[in-house]
Amino acid sequence: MDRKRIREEVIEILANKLHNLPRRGDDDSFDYDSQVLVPTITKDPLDIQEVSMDLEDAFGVNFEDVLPGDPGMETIAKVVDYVEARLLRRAKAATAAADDADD
Amino acid sequence: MPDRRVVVTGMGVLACNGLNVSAYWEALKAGRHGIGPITSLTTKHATTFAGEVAIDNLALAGGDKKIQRRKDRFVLLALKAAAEAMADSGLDWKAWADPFRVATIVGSGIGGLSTIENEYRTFMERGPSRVSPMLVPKMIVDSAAGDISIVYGAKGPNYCITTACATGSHCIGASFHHIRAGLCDVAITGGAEAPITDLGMAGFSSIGALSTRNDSPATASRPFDKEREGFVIAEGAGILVLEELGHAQARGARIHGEVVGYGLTGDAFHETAPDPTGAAGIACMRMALRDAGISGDAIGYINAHGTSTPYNDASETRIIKQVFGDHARRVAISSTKSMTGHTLGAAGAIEAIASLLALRDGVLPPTINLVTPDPDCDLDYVPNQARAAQATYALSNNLGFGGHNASLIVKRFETDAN
Repeated sequence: MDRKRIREEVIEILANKLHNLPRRGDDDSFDYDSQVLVPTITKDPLDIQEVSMDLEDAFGVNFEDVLPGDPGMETIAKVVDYVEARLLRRAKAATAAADDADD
Repeated sequence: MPDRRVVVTGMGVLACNGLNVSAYWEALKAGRHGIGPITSLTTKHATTFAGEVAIDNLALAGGDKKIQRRKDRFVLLALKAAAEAMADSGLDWKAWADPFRVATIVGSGIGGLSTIENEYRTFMERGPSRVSPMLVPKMIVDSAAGDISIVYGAKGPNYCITTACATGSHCIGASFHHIRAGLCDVAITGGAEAPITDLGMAGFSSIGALSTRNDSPATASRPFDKEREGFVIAEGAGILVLEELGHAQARGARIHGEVVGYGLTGDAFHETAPDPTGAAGIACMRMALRDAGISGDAIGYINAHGTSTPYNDASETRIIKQVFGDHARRVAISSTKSMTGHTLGAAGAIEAIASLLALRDGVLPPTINLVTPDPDCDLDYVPNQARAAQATYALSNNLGFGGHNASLIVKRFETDAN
């Protein structure tokens, strides 16, 4: 999955539950990437728990020590970075496993 | 008598036969029920009908999807009834003189059963890590009290009482005593229940408590009738705003009636069956009469627990006779559960409202479907048609699984009464 698709999907998942975030297409000028999740988009820890689980379900990733909104993952762009890195790591691991199998 | 009197200045109802106080009261006076085939479940249960509130969760949430998603139905029912009650009270909740003097005591018999069912399904199908973070805040039985207090900024005493079918009565009684004792000046109080779920239907069916008159839901809830064979489960909410009289008068509030007595006892007998001696039920009504400082003869109307189960209605009749003696033959008794079904934790609240309206408007709601006399139920149950009658005091009984008994006494409001 390329970064553009990951980003679109992340925004869609976040906007589905975080109602301060416009849905894609509602506001073309909206700067999603720099949005600070906490406290700009939500101050509610339950919101964060919910969207974290939704993102985990959608991408098959696990937020381990850091949840969206925490230091290190403050903005939507950083959430996309995290998901993209995890997917890339998984793809590399799958490729390596396939290579090992070929050997 | 304590100096501080407690009056009712706001009321809100959601019942299967009325989606606000006015519609509910018109239905009760007309003898109109709201019971029909269950529309919200597809499982085939032994009982196929109930008293549903014909508003879906999104509409209860005012179209707000986030509220719909994050609240169990019993909380949504409570919030909507609270909105009606608070608007009715005319209280300016955005400018409380002292928010710590405003209590919220709202209960439920069960809590968020549908939420528990849905999340347990997720747990079984997808494992513990996929259980929603909303499970606990949605399903806990105190969440109606918490959520109502959040909406109205009520920072005084805040809790829920859970005593099965006596829940609503106990919440109102506790609120009444708190205001009378000076702990607070205003209380938002009552109960809410949303038990029409697969587990709810299966569980109450397993006890053998539900009517199975599937061919005739309209006549299934028939308290005190010889052919009664179980209660009709229903959802609903009733919320009242109680207020210290001086507090209400100082702001020129409209007063619907007064709460004057509260009794509460426990059977200490069995998980679901009432004590056949009725000792605790008798003590409960007597305690409420003492609390009100009146004799039994002063009661003009009893809103009975009257569930339509074979045992309850005969037992309640017996204990009313023991408490009231000769007056039991004269006092008008009715079970509005014949029209609303049994709303469990909401019953005490919606029936307190029926009792207050009966006194205020001089109309006693009937017991409908009372066709075949039962020799064990031989009092005046206001059969099938409402009756014009000016009563001063009404007593409302509710008794819960676990042996919880609660009796409330309300009074028609008189300005200069002591």
